[in-house]
Amino acid sequence: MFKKNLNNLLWIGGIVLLGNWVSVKIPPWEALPGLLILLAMVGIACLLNKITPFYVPLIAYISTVALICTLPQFPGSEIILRYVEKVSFLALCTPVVAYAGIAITKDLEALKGGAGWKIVVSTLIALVGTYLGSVIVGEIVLKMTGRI
Amino acid sequence: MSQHKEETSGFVKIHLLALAIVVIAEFIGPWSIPMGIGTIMILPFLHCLWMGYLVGPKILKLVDNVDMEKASPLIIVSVWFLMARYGTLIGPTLATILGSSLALIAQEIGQLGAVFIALPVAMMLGLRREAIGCTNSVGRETNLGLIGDLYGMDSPEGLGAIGAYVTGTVFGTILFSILGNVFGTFTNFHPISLAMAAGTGSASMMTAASSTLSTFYPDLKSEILAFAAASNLLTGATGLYKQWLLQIPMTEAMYKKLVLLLDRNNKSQEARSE
Repeated sequence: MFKKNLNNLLWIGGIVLLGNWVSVKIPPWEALPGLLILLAMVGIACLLNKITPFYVPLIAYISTVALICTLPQFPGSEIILRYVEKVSFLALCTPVVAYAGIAITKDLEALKGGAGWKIVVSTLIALVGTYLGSVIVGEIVLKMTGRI
Repeated sequence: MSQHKEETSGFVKIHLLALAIVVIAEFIGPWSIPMGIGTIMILPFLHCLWMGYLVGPKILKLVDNVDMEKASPLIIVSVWFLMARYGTLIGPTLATILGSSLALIAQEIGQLGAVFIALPVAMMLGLRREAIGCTNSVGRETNLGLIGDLYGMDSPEGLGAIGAYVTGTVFGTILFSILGNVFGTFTNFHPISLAMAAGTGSASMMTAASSTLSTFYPDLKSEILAFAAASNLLTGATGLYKQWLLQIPMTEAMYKKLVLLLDRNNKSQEARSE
Protein backbone atom coordinates (compact mmCIF):
# COMPACT_ATOMS: atom_id res chain seq x y z
CA MET A 1 0.00 0.00 0.00
CA PHE A 2 2.73 2.44 1.09
CA LYS A 3 5.29 1.44 -1.53
CA LYS A 4 2.70 1.49 -4.30
CA ASN A 5 1.66 5.01 -3.38
CA LEU A 6 5.02 6.46 -2.34
CA ASN A 7 5.31 8.36 -5.60
CA ASN A 8 1.87 9.90 -5.13
CA LEU A 9 2.58 10.66 -1.46
CA LEU A 10 5.74 12.55 -2.43
CA TRP A 11 3.84 14.58 -5.02
CA ILE A 12 1.08 15.37 -2.54
CA GLY A 13 3.70 16.22 0.09
CA GLY A 14 5.32 18.68 -2.30
CA ILE A 15 1.95 20.28 -3.08
CA VAL A 16 1.24 20.58 0.66
CA LEU A 17 4.59 22.31 1.26
CA LEU A 18 3.87 24.88 -1.46
CA GLY A 19 0.29 25.45 -0.30
CA ASN A 20 1.57 25.83 3.26
CA TRP A 21 4.11 28.39 2.05
CA VAL A 22 1.43 30.48 0.33
CA SER A 23 -1.21 30.23 3.07
CA VAL A 24 0.68 30.43 6.38
CA LYS A 25 4.00 31.80 4.99
CA ILE A 26 6.12 28.97 6.39
CA PRO A 27 8.81 28.16 3.79
CA PRO A 28 9.04 24.54 2.59
CA TRP A 29 12.47 23.93 4.14
CA GLU A 30 11.05 24.74 7.58
CA ALA A 31 7.93 22.61 7.14
CA LEU A 32 9.74 19.65 5.51
CA PRO A 33 10.74 17.84 8.75
CA GLY A 34 7.14 17.96 9.98
CA LEU A 35 5.87 16.61 6.67
CA LEU A 36 8.41 13.77 6.76
CA ILE A 37 7.25 12.89 10.29
CA LEU A 38 3.65 12.68 8.99
CA LEU A 39 4.86 10.53 6.10
CA ALA A 40 6.62 8.18 8.54
CA MET A 41 3.41 7.90 10.59
CA VAL A 42 1.52 6.93 7.43
CA GLY A 43 4.23 4.35 6.68
CA ILE A 44 4.00 2.77 10.14
CA ALA A 45 0.19 2.67 9.89
CA CYS A 46 0.37 0.94 6.48
CA LEU A 47 2.72 -1.67 7.94
CA LEU A 48 0.43 -2.30 10.93
CA ASN A 49 -2.57 -2.50 8.60
CA LYS A 50 -0.74 -5.14 6.55
CA ILE A 51 0.20 -7.39 9.47
CA THR A 52 -3.14 -7.21 11.34
CA PRO A 53 -5.10 -10.45 10.71
CA PHE A 54 -8.54 -8.72 10.98
CA TYR A 55 -10.00 -5.65 9.25
CA VAL A 56 -9.22 -2.22 10.65
CA PRO A 57 -9.67 0.81 8.37
CA LEU A 58 -6.26 2.21 7.37
CA ILE A 59 -7.24 5.80 8.23
CA ALA A 60 -8.12 4.72 11.79
CA TYR A 61 -4.62 3.25 12.06
CA ILE A 62 -3.01 6.44 10.74
CA SER A 63 -4.80 8.68 13.25
CA THR A 64 -4.06 6.28 16.10
CA VAL A 65 -0.33 6.08 15.31
CA ALA A 66 -0.15 9.91 15.16
CA LEU A 67 -2.17 10.17 18.37
CA ILE A 68 0.19 7.85 20.29
CA CYS A 69 3.31 9.65 19.00
CA THR A 70 2.00 12.99 20.31
CA LEU A 71 0.80 11.86 23.75
CA PRO A 72 2.64 13.90 26.41
CA GLN A 73 3.98 10.59 27.83
CA PHE A 74 5.51 9.56 24.49
CA PRO A 75 9.28 10.17 24.43
CA GLY A 76 10.13 13.09 22.15
CA SER A 77 6.47 14.06 21.61
CA GLU A 78 7.30 17.72 22.18
CA ILE A 79 9.87 17.72 19.39
CA ILE A 80 7.46 15.85 17.08
CA LEU A 81 4.74 18.42 17.80
CA ARG A 82 7.07 21.37 17.30
CA TYR A 83 7.88 20.18 13.76
CA VAL A 84 4.42 18.91 12.83
CA GLU A 85 2.78 22.20 13.85
CA LYS A 86 4.68 23.90 11.02
CA VAL A 87 2.36 22.05 8.61
CA SER A 88 -1.05 23.74 8.71
CA PHE A 89 -3.95 21.28 8.77
CA LEU A 90 -5.85 23.47 6.31
CA ALA A 91 -2.94 23.25 3.88
CA LEU A 92 -3.25 19.46 4.21
CA CYS A 93 -6.94 19.58 3.31
CA THR A 94 -6.64 21.73 0.18
CA PRO A 95 -5.05 18.99 -2.00
CA VAL A 96 -7.79 16.53 -0.96
CA VAL A 97 -10.46 18.89 -2.31
CA ALA A 98 -8.28 19.71 -5.35
CA TYR A 99 -8.27 16.05 -6.46
CA ALA A 100 -11.99 15.83 -5.70
CA GLY A 101 -12.47 19.00 -7.77
CA ILE A 102 -10.60 17.54 -10.75
CA ALA A 103 -12.98 14.55 -10.70
CA ILE A 104 -16.11 16.65 -10.02
CA THR A 105 -17.52 16.73 -13.58
CA LYS A 106 -17.67 12.92 -13.62
CA ASP A 107 -19.48 12.90 -10.28
CA LEU A 108 -21.99 15.54 -11.32
CA GLU A 109 -22.75 13.57 -14.51
CA ALA A 110 -23.50 10.47 -12.41
CA LEU A 111 -26.16 12.38 -10.49
CA LYS A 112 -27.92 13.79 -13.55
CA GLY A 113 -31.28 12.49 -14.68
CA GLY A 114 -33.65 9.90 -13.25
CA ALA A 115 -33.85 9.71 -9.49
CA GLY A 116 -30.63 11.71 -9.20
CA TRP A 117 -31.95 14.90 -7.63
CA LYS A 118 -34.16 12.96 -5.22
CA ILE A 119 -31.10 11.07 -3.99
CA VAL A 120 -29.15 14.33 -3.65
CA VAL A 121 -31.92 15.96 -1.60
CA SER A 122 -32.42 12.88 0.60
CA THR A 123 -28.69 12.57 1.25
CA LEU A 124 -28.36 16.24 2.19
CA ILE A 125 -31.24 15.85 4.65
CA ALA A 126 -29.61 12.71 6.07
CA LEU A 127 -26.31 14.60 6.50
CA VAL A 128 -27.99 17.54 8.23
CA GLY A 129 -29.97 15.10 10.40
CA THR A 130 -26.80 13.26 11.41
CA TYR A 131 -25.17 16.55 12.35
CA LEU A 132 -28.24 17.72 14.27
CA GLY A 133 -28.66 14.41 16.11
CA SER A 134 -25.04 14.55 17.14
CA VAL A 135 -25.21 18.21 18.31
CA ILE A 136 -28.35 17.72 20.41
CA VAL A 137 -27.31 14.49 22.14
CA GLY A 138 -23.73 15.74 22.59
CA GLU A 139 -24.95 18.98 24.17
CA ILE A 140 -27.33 17.17 26.56
CA VAL A 141 -24.71 14.67 27.74
CA LEU A 142 -21.97 17.32 28.07
CA LYS A 143 -24.35 19.36 30.26
CA MET A 144 -25.48 16.33 32.30
CA THR A 145 -21.93 15.25 32.99
CA GLY A 146 -20.97 18.82 33.85
CA ARG A 147 -18.34 19.15 31.12
CA ILE A 148 -19.76 22.47 29.90
CA MET B 1 6.44 -1.15 -20.36
CA SER B 2 5.33 1.67 -22.61
CA GLN B 3 1.86 1.39 -21.11
CA HIS B 4 3.35 1.68 -17.64
CA LYS B 5 5.12 4.84 -18.68
CA GLU B 6 1.91 6.25 -20.04
CA GLU B 7 0.15 5.55 -16.75
CA THR B 8 2.81 7.39 -14.77
CA SER B 9 2.76 10.40 -17.05
CA GLY B 10 -1.02 10.55 -16.70
CA PHE B 11 -0.60 10.90 -12.96
CA VAL B 12 2.04 13.61 -13.37
CA LYS B 13 -0.48 15.70 -15.30
CA ILE B 14 -3.07 15.33 -12.55
CA HIS B 15 -0.54 16.17 -9.82
CA LEU B 16 0.59 19.28 -11.73
CA LEU B 17 -3.01 20.40 -12.15
CA ALA B 18 -3.68 19.80 -8.45
CA LEU B 19 -0.54 21.79 -7.64
CA ALA B 20 -1.72 24.73 -9.73
CA ILE B 21 -5.23 24.60 -8.24
CA VAL B 22 -3.89 24.42 -4.67
CA VAL B 23 -1.47 27.33 -5.12
CA ILE B 24 -4.15 29.52 -6.75
CA ALA B 25 -6.71 28.57 -4.05
CA GLU B 26 -4.26 29.51 -1.29
CA PHE B 27 -3.37 32.76 -3.09
CA ILE B 28 -7.05 33.70 -3.28
CA GLY B 29 -7.28 32.86 0.43
CA PRO B 30 -10.41 32.80 2.58
CA TRP B 31 -13.42 34.94 1.75
CA SER B 32 -15.52 36.26 4.59
CA ILE B 33 -18.90 37.43 3.40
CA PRO B 34 -20.83 39.55 5.91
CA MET B 35 -24.47 38.43 6.02
CA GLY B 36 -26.51 40.63 8.34
CA ILE B 37 -25.86 39.42 11.89
CA GLY B 38 -23.34 36.74 10.87
CA THR B 39 -20.41 36.13 8.57
CA ILE B 40 -20.09 33.37 6.00
CA MET B 41 -16.53 32.00 5.74
CA ILE B 42 -15.43 30.49 2.44
CA LEU B 43 -12.16 28.64 3.15
CA PRO B 44 -9.54 28.27 0.41
CA PHE B 45 -10.22 24.57 -0.21
CA LEU B 46 -13.73 25.37 -1.45
CA HIS B 47 -12.15 27.32 -4.33
CA CYS B 48 -10.75 23.98 -5.51
CA LEU B 49 -14.24 22.74 -6.37
CA TRP B 50 -15.09 25.46 -8.90
CA MET B 51 -11.54 25.45 -10.28
CA GLY B 52 -11.82 21.67 -10.70
CA TYR B 53 -15.03 22.11 -12.65
CA LEU B 54 -13.34 24.83 -14.72
CA VAL B 55 -10.50 22.56 -15.89
CA GLY B 56 -13.01 19.74 -16.51
CA PRO B 57 -14.35 18.48 -19.86
CA LYS B 58 -17.32 20.88 -19.78
CA ILE B 59 -15.31 24.10 -19.90
CA LEU B 60 -11.54 24.21 -20.40
CA LYS B 61 -11.27 20.50 -21.34
CA LEU B 62 -7.84 20.13 -19.66
CA VAL B 63 -8.91 16.79 -18.18
CA ASP B 64 -10.90 13.97 -19.78
CA ASN B 65 -12.77 11.00 -18.32
CA VAL B 66 -9.60 8.91 -18.01
CA ASP B 67 -7.91 11.66 -15.98
CA MET B 68 -10.93 11.97 -13.72
CA GLU B 69 -10.88 8.21 -13.06
CA LYS B 70 -7.23 8.58 -12.04
CA ALA B 71 -7.89 11.56 -9.77
CA SER B 72 -10.44 9.73 -7.61
CA PRO B 73 -8.02 7.33 -5.81
CA LEU B 74 -5.67 10.27 -5.15
CA ILE B 75 -8.37 11.80 -2.95
CA ILE B 76 -7.93 8.85 -0.58
CA VAL B 77 -4.12 8.97 -0.63
CA SER B 78 -4.11 12.68 0.18
CA VAL B 79 -6.49 12.05 3.08
CA TRP B 80 -3.76 9.92 4.72
CA PHE B 81 -1.63 13.00 5.51
CA LEU B 82 -4.68 14.82 6.83
CA MET B 83 -5.57 11.91 9.14
CA ALA B 84 -2.01 11.82 10.50
CA ARG B 85 -2.17 15.55 11.23
CA TYR B 86 -5.52 15.09 12.96
CA GLY B 87 -4.05 12.35 15.14
CA THR B 88 -1.40 14.84 16.26
CA LEU B 89 -4.23 17.19 17.33
CA ILE B 90 -5.85 14.51 19.50
CA GLY B 91 -2.68 13.26 21.26
CA PRO B 92 -1.82 16.37 23.31
CA THR B 93 -5.48 16.88 24.41
CA LEU B 94 -6.39 13.22 24.96
CA ALA B 95 -6.90 13.65 28.72
CA THR B 96 -9.58 16.32 28.16
CA ILE B 97 -11.24 14.25 25.45
CA LEU B 98 -11.38 11.10 27.62
CA GLY B 99 -13.08 13.22 30.30
CA SER B 100 -15.92 13.78 27.81
CA SER B 101 -15.94 10.27 26.40
CA LEU B 102 -19.52 9.65 27.53
CA ALA B 103 -20.76 12.57 25.43
CA LEU B 104 -18.66 11.41 22.48
CA ILE B 105 -20.19 7.93 22.58
CA ALA B 106 -23.72 9.24 23.15
CA GLN B 107 -23.58 11.59 20.15
CA GLU B 108 -22.66 8.59 17.96
CA ILE B 109 -26.06 7.14 18.93
CA GLY B 110 -27.71 10.55 18.41
CA GLN B 111 -26.65 10.39 14.77
CA LEU B 112 -29.17 7.56 14.29
CA GLY B 113 -31.88 10.22 14.59
CA ALA B 114 -31.13 11.21 11.00
CA VAL B 115 -33.04 8.17 9.72
CA PHE B 116 -36.29 9.41 11.29
CA ILE B 117 -36.07 12.65 9.34
CA ALA B 118 -34.44 11.58 6.09
CA LEU B 119 -36.23 8.29 5.36
CA PRO B 120 -39.81 9.67 5.36
CA VAL B 121 -38.73 12.64 3.21
CA ALA B 122 -36.89 10.38 0.75
CA MET B 123 -39.94 8.13 0.44
CA MET B 124 -42.37 11.01 0.04
CA LEU B 125 -40.17 12.25 -2.82
CA GLY B 126 -40.90 8.87 -4.43
CA LEU B 127 -37.75 6.91 -3.66
CA ARG B 128 -38.24 3.33 -2.49
CA ARG B 129 -35.39 0.88 -1.83
CA GLU B 130 -32.86 3.54 -2.98
CA ALA B 131 -33.85 5.49 0.13
CA ILE B 132 -32.31 2.80 2.34
CA GLY B 133 -28.98 3.26 0.59
CA CYS B 134 -28.87 7.03 0.59
CA THR B 135 -30.13 7.68 4.10
CA ASN B 136 -27.56 5.22 5.46
CA SER B 137 -24.55 7.07 4.19
CA VAL B 138 -22.49 9.99 5.41
CA GLY B 139 -20.16 9.92 2.43
CA ARG B 140 -17.62 7.50 3.82
CA GLU B 141 -16.16 4.61 1.90
CA THR B 142 -17.24 2.25 4.70
CA ASN B 143 -20.93 3.17 4.15
CA LEU B 144 -20.62 2.40 0.48
CA GLY B 145 -18.77 -0.86 1.19
CA LEU B 146 -21.33 -2.11 3.70
CA ILE B 147 -24.38 -1.40 1.51
CA GLY B 148 -22.56 -3.08 -1.37
CA ASP B 149 -21.89 -6.11 0.82
CA LEU B 150 -25.45 -6.44 2.10
CA TYR B 151 -27.51 -5.60 -1.00
CA GLY B 152 -25.05 -5.65 -3.92
CA MET B 153 -23.78 -2.60 -5.75
CA ASP B 154 -26.25 -3.04 -8.66
CA SER B 155 -29.31 -3.13 -6.40
CA PRO B 156 -31.54 -0.07 -5.85
CA GLU B 157 -29.99 0.21 -2.35
CA GLY B 158 -26.54 0.20 -3.96
CA LEU B 159 -27.61 2.93 -6.40
CA GLY B 160 -28.79 5.02 -3.47
CA ALA B 161 -25.50 4.50 -1.66
CA ILE B 162 -23.44 5.48 -4.72
CA GLY B 163 -25.61 8.56 -5.18
CA ALA B 164 -25.11 9.46 -1.54
CA TYR B 165 -21.36 8.99 -1.80
CA VAL B 166 -21.20 11.24 -4.86
CA THR B 167 -23.44 13.81 -3.19
CA GLY B 168 -21.20 13.73 -0.13
CA THR B 169 -18.08 14.26 -2.24
CA VAL B 170 -19.51 17.09 -4.33
CA PHE B 171 -21.75 18.92 -1.87
CA GLY B 172 -20.57 17.60 1.52
CA THR B 173 -17.73 20.07 1.96
CA ILE B 174 -19.97 23.00 1.03
CA LEU B 175 -22.82 21.73 3.22
CA PHE B 176 -20.57 21.26 6.26
CA SER B 177 -19.08 24.74 5.78
CA ILE B 178 -22.62 26.11 5.84
CA LEU B 179 -23.47 24.04 8.94
CA GLY B 180 -20.33 25.29 10.70
CA ASN B 181 -21.28 28.86 9.77
CA VAL B 182 -24.96 28.69 10.63
CA PHE B 183 -24.58 26.82 13.92
CA GLY B 184 -21.51 28.83 14.92
CA THR B 185 -23.33 32.13 14.39
CA PHE B 186 -27.02 31.62 15.02
CA THR B 187 -27.32 28.98 17.75
CA ASN B 188 -26.42 28.78 21.40
CA PHE B 189 -25.01 25.26 21.26
CA HIS B 190 -21.67 24.89 22.97
CA PRO B 191 -18.75 24.93 20.49
CA ILE B 192 -17.60 21.53 21.80
CA SER B 193 -20.99 19.96 20.94
CA LEU B 194 -20.71 21.52 17.48
CA ALA B 195 -17.14 20.27 17.17
CA MET B 196 -18.20 16.70 17.91
CA ALA B 197 -20.96 16.97 15.31
CA ALA B 198 -18.41 18.27 12.79
CA GLY B 199 -16.72 14.87 13.01
CA THR B 200 -19.77 12.95 11.77
CA GLY B 201 -18.94 13.02 8.07
CA SER B 202 -15.87 12.42 5.95
CA ALA B 203 -12.43 13.93 6.67
CA SER B 204 -12.96 16.90 4.36
CA MET B 205 -16.45 17.55 5.74
CA MET B 206 -14.96 17.52 9.24
CA THR B 207 -12.25 19.98 8.21
CA ALA B 208 -14.84 22.22 6.56
CA ALA B 209 -17.14 22.33 9.59
CA SER B 210 -14.51 22.45 12.34
CA SER B 211 -12.19 25.00 10.77
CA THR B 212 -15.12 27.28 9.92
CA LEU B 213 -16.37 26.89 13.49
CA SER B 214 -12.94 27.67 14.93
CA THR B 215 -12.88 31.04 13.14
CA PHE B 216 -15.80 32.03 15.41
CA TYR B 217 -14.08 30.74 18.57
CA PRO B 218 -10.37 31.43 18.07
CA ASP B 219 -9.65 30.83 21.80
CA LEU B 220 -11.09 27.32 21.62
CA LYS B 221 -9.48 26.46 18.28
CA SER B 222 -7.31 23.57 19.47
CA GLU B 223 -10.14 22.00 21.52
CA ILE B 224 -12.59 22.33 18.62
CA LEU B 225 -10.22 20.65 16.18
CA ALA B 226 -9.29 17.94 18.69
CA PHE B 227 -12.91 17.08 19.52
CA ALA B 228 -13.90 17.04 15.84
CA ALA B 229 -11.00 14.73 15.07
CA ALA B 230 -11.75 12.45 18.02
CA SER B 231 -15.41 12.19 17.01
CA ASN B 232 -14.35 11.47 13.43
CA LEU B 233 -11.94 8.76 14.59
CA LEU B 234 -14.63 7.19 16.77
CA THR B 235 -17.11 7.18 13.85
CA GLY B 236 -14.38 5.64 11.70
CA ALA B 237 -13.71 2.91 14.24
CA THR B 238 -17.29 2.12 15.29
CA GLY B 239 -19.35 3.51 12.41
CA LEU B 240 -19.33 0.27 10.43
CA TYR B 241 -20.72 -1.79 13.33
CA LYS B 242 -23.20 0.88 14.35
CA GLN B 243 -24.54 1.04 10.81
CA TRP B 244 -24.63 -2.71 10.32
CA LEU B 245 -26.15 -3.74 13.67
CA LEU B 246 -28.34 -0.73 14.55
CA GLN B 247 -28.96 1.68 11.72
CA ILE B 248 -29.82 -0.69 8.87
CA PRO B 249 -32.21 -2.90 10.91
CA MET B 250 -33.86 0.30 12.17
CA THR B 251 -34.16 1.70 8.64
CA GLU B 252 -35.62 -1.58 7.35
CA ALA B 253 -38.26 -1.69 10.10
CA MET B 254 -39.25 1.90 9.46
CA TYR B 255 -39.28 1.34 5.71
CA LYS B 256 -41.86 -1.47 6.05
CA LYS B 257 -44.18 0.77 8.07
CA LEU B 258 -43.76 3.75 5.73
CA VAL B 259 -44.34 1.71 2.58
CA LEU B 260 -47.68 0.44 3.95
CA LEU B 261 -48.69 3.94 4.96
CA LEU B 262 -47.74 5.58 1.66
CA ASP B 263 -49.31 2.85 -0.48
CA ARG B 264 -52.56 3.04 1.47
CA ASN B 265 -52.62 6.80 0.89
CA ASN B 266 -51.98 6.37 -2.81
CA LYS B 267 -54.74 3.77 -3.11
CA SER B 268 -57.31 5.90 -1.35
CA GLN B 269 -56.36 8.81 -3.58
CA GLU B 270 -56.80 6.64 -6.66
CA ALA B 271 -60.16 5.40 -5.39
CA ARG B 272 -61.29 8.96 -4.83
CA SER B 273 -60.26 10.09 -8.30
CA GLU B 274 -62.17 7.19 -9.83
